Amino acid sequence: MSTSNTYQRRATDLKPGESSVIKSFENEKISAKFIEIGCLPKSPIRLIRKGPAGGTMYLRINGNAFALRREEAAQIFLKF
Amino acid sequence: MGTNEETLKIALIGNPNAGKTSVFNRLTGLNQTVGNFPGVTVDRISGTYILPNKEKAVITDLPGTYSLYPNSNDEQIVLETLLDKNSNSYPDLVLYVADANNLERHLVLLTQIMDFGMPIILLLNMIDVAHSEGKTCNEAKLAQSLGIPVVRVNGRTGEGTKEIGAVILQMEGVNSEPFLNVEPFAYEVEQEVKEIFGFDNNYRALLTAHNYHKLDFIGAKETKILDELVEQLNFKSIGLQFEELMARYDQLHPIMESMIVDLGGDAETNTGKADKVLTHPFWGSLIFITTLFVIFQAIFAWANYPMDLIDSGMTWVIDATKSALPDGLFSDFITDGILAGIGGIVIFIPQITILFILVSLLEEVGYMSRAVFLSDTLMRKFGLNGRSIVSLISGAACAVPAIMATRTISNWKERLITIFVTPFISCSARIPVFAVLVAFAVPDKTVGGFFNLQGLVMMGLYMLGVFAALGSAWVMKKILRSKERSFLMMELPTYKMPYWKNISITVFQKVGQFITNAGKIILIISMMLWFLASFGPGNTLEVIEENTRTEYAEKEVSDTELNNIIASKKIEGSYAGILGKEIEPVIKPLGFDWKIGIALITSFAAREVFISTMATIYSVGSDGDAESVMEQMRHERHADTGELVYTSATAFSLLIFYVLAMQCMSTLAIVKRETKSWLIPTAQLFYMTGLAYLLSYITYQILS
Repeated sequence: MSTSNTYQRRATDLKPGESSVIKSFENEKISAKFIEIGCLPKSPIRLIRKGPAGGTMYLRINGNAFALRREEAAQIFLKF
Repeated sequence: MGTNEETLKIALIGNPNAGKTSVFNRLTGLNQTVGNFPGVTVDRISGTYILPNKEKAVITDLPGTYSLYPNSNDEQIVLETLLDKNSNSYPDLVLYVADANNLERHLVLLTQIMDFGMPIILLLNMIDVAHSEGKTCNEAKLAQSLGIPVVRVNGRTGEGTKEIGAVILQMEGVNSEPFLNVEPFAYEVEQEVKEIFGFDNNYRALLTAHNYHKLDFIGAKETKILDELVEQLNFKSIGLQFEELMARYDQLHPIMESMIVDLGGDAETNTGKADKVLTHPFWGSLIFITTLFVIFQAIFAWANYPMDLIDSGMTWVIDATKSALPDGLFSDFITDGILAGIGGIVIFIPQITILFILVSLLEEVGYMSRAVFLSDTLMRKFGLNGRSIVSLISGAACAVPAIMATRTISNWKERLITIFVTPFISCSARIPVFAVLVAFAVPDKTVGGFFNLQGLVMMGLYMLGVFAALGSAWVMKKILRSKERSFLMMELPTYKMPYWKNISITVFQKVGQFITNAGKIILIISMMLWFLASFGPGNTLEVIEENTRTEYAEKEVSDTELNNIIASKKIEGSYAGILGKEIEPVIKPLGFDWKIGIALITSFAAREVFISTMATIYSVGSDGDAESVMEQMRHERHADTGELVYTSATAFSLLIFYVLAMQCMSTLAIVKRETKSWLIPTAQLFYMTGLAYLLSYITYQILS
């Protein structure tokens, strides 16, 4: 993970329709779960839309669609 | 393996949404049996497959999982089945189903299983879809790179079903070469574990070290040894999982690159277009709510026709049996004990079947995960999970299958709350009770020019159930403490045309399971209740019958009327009547008398038994219809005060009681099975019935 103190962009910062690339994950425990569903560092990620009340996110990662809660999405750091 | 004395055991494994079940149905057809995995409550579905040499093989359809690091009960089954070589369910061969559209991710689990060194065949599914998305795959090359046979299959057309057999026969004892060298990950731990358990395989040892706390076949003593080992050798489970999975991708990636040819297809898929509407915060929610209404409509309106048929069919069977058998205890036992019990089971079949058809249809086309996506935020406010919505919907037909459907919720607290509150949702057994009491207490008139008042009250009762469920869930969320992280990471699969054969097989299985699970209990309770209602202490019942006959000897009553009067007096003197009178002081504040007390007790078989019990008590004959029961209710007066028993206050109090009280033995039994202790069902019984008592009391006191 980056040693600089610049702001780390997270998947929750994506606007609907916006794409980026996954850089890393915040904690180890959740990263194993991300990896097994095919969300890896360097995977392309796009926010399709937010669910009602914004608690869930509809993301397209590596060509597959996933529903993640905001808390999970916040663990994904983006490259840009 | 493959020896003549023993049937070949095959495990069917794959990721969720790999199309595993379609392939399974193709291979085994209706030759399927549902059992249980030892010690856990996950259904084990097996089927027979005939090999080309006419020998039989048994294929077990294991739950879908992404890896051998399980997150839920379902997923753990796969790990346990593969890890414990001494278990009866250890397979001779693995058929691995992978979705060709998504090969890289789908092969991660395959590479894990390859590391066990066992016979394994890769089945490439949904190549047709991949083609339409502009991708193709060279399976000969894939087979070469992985070193295992690859067969192209299609769960929808049946392609490959025959070829699999030939490949299985060629496999005779050919173990896969390990895909990844796992030795460097935790060399010392692996060696120690191999020694303790006598394993000959590094990956088996590594996975045991990762998961031993969850594994049933590892005893307390071994757990303690492993605890020390892990501590001593500084085994970092989570970090190692990450490393291992990443290493698998790193090794798979170059193989995939050379294998998958992207023909360049449409960027905007049909699924993407459909989801623009179906997952839209407003339109999507509207469509979801409409879908719920259609399901309710189907359960209420459509199911009525077959239910009426079954009802009259059962009445005919009971009458025919009565006239065929000589009058007496035996005839009564067969008709009122056993046949009535069976009737109480089959009457639910239409509603349950319709519900399962609709739920599995939504599941099959891929809509259910969108429903979860749309409702998760709301559900979480109540300590539930988006997946709870499936159970809450199913609860409108019957709590038993609804509670079984909670198994996909990986967070224990969320699952427990879902199990706890689902019985509040008004199930189909409450409908007949509601119908009679609402018709009794609410005038049949139109309000606001459009709405039927009775319909509105019915609706209100359902809403009360929903509020009770959500309110209780919210309270439990505040009370229960859980360290376990709650999460939702759910794949939204592409929409697919439903494949009816899959749906019919699923529905057939689930209805069968309902009949065996809930049916058994309903039948037993029905027989017990028959006993309670047919016998009294000593010869009281004979005396009652004789006295009544003498009393009415002079009066002008028809034989049927006299028999009904005798039946009514007998039930009063029976054990059931005694019990009813015994609990009368307790239920009196709610406006209930001992007769209602009897009906409350008999409702434990299934709530709709209320009607037939009231019919017997009010001497209109146990097959008396709802209208004659209502007629009797209108004239019934308290013996001591002469006041009417059934005022609207009583009826509403009773309605509220039936909405909220836990009155179903089948539900309690299934909750016990799913939570593995009597704690939760006992808490449910007292909490729900207590709440029912309180609110009925308030209702009665206000209205009377």
